[in-house]
Amino acid sequence: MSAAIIDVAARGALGLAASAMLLLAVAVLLARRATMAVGLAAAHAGCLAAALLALAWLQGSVALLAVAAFTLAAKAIALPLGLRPFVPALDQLAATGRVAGRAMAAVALAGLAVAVAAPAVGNLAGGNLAVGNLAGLALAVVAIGALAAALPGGDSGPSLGPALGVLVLENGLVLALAVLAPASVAAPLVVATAMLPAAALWLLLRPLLPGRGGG
Amino acid sequence: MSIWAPWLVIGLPLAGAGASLFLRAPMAGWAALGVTIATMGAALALPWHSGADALVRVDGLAIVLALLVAAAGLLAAWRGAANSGPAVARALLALAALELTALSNALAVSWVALTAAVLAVLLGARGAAAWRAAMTVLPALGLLLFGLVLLGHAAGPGAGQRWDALAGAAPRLDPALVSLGFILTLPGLAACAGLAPLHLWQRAAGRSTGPAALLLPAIGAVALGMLLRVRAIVLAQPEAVPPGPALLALGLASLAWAALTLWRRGTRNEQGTGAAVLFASGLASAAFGLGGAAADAAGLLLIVAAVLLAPLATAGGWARAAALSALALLPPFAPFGAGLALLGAAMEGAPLLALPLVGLMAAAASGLARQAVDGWRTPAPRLADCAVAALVLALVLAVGVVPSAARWFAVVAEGLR
Repeated sequence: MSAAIIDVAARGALGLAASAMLLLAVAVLLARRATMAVGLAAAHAGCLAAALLALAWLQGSVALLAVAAFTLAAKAIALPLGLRPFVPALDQLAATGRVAGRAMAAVALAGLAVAVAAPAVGNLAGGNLAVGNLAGLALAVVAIGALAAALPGGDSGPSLGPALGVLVLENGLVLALAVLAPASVAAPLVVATAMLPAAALWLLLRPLLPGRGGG
Repeated sequence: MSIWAPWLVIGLPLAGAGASLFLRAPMAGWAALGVTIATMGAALALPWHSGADALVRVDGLAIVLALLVAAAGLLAAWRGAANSGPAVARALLALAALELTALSNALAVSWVALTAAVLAVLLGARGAAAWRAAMTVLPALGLLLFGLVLLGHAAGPGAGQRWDALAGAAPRLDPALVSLGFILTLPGLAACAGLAPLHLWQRAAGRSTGPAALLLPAIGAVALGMLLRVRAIVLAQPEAVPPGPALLALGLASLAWAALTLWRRGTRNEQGTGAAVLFASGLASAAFGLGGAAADAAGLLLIVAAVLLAPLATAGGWARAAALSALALLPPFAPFGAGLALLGAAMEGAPLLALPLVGLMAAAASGLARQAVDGWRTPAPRLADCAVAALVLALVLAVGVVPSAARWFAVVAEGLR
């Protein structure tokens, strides 16, 4: 298979993966059971890894390839496995709220984000609408993640929904960094952005860890 | 530029944080005091080492912020001398991160350092309030990074990664992208600066264990400093969205919130202190929104006063009364002159705005004055605290009345545009 054919396939895969990230972000926002929410978040990270892999090929960047491997291993595989022992306790803490209201808010935010960011970034990239669309999708994912994080759970205490919202938000940030920032800056920043979901998960799981009960 | 000076300011507390992990109370607290005194000494050398490279930048604003953060660290170490090793290490880590934020010339490094400082304070808090605080500030920090990435992208791969190069290239940047970048950075910086309505996370983080919680006003100061850097970029692009109205709105909202908190029945002492810092931050934000060298200098003075006086307000007795009086814009302290300068700038630049500004300032300042009177009835500070309180109050007085200090703030404010 020639490099040109792989280029075309990578461009297609990139668009598909970014679009799937947006859909899965909405799904995470609407999920009612912890098991399903964790699975959707893992799929979200898997789509990000696929997008990063395609970008790594298109830009010829080894750093992005390493970021894709890190994302796949840490967020799509290790995180769901690590959360499995806590799922019974987390299921009682899963976010509540009206699904229709959440869905409408998510669609409105996503539409606004794409409508604002895509033309602004696309114009700068010499009319390269693909870059603009990817930036718009990334901002939409970030906005939905922020919405999921900001919406309170049942008792406004630690709950899985907002923590996964921060994870989704960080995935959107990683996509934006990979698309908009030079690889030399994006790769170390991707590691640094992991501070956000790590802090959220630590605050969520701290009361459940042995010897740290109550919060 | 001699590269060692800013790195010494950043490296000393970082090394101290590592060493504190192996020490017990009260040895860890005394070690922190030594480290923060050394950091203050290194920060005092910064004015003789101005310049910039790819990672650090020592200009007027960076010097003010670095000195202020060092002073906040010193006061926090003094007040928290009895804490355990991990709590002290967290505070010193936050101090190092704040110094790096103040002195960084790289957009990415600024974000990483600010986030690390916020998390170092936040992760010491517990319970549902800590969770709600995290769910406010973490998304805001995410939006801040997205905004910075857009600003960097607007300038291209080389220039876009440095604050100084970005400011130089600002007139040639795409106005739509600059506007979007500013809009996205605003919630993140407003949350970190503790501006209403995104300030409530600071109340939960204020209950964090150890001396790190005393660095919250310094986090706000550094975030406002970063906001000034972003504002300079946006102002240099005439077709971009004007930053003034948004900053004014945040400032007025903060003043209104502070006034409501202070006049509510049963306001506790720590809420009064938080409202005093919110009042000063709101005034600073309003000043930066009005623009102009005089208003900017007034805003910087208010930030300095808030960071220095907030730890005093927790000391109790006459120290609390004096600190709250100064923050209530009562003479003869520096905030009095800053308040007058701010009103002058409002009358000159936005006369219609002067009326609500005066009303909200009067409401909040009178509430603070009432808190100051109540402060006399709280237990008096220890003798050792009295000496530190007197020193800080003398410093805040000197900043307001010594002409060379006022001139220095004016020069720094001139450099912000």
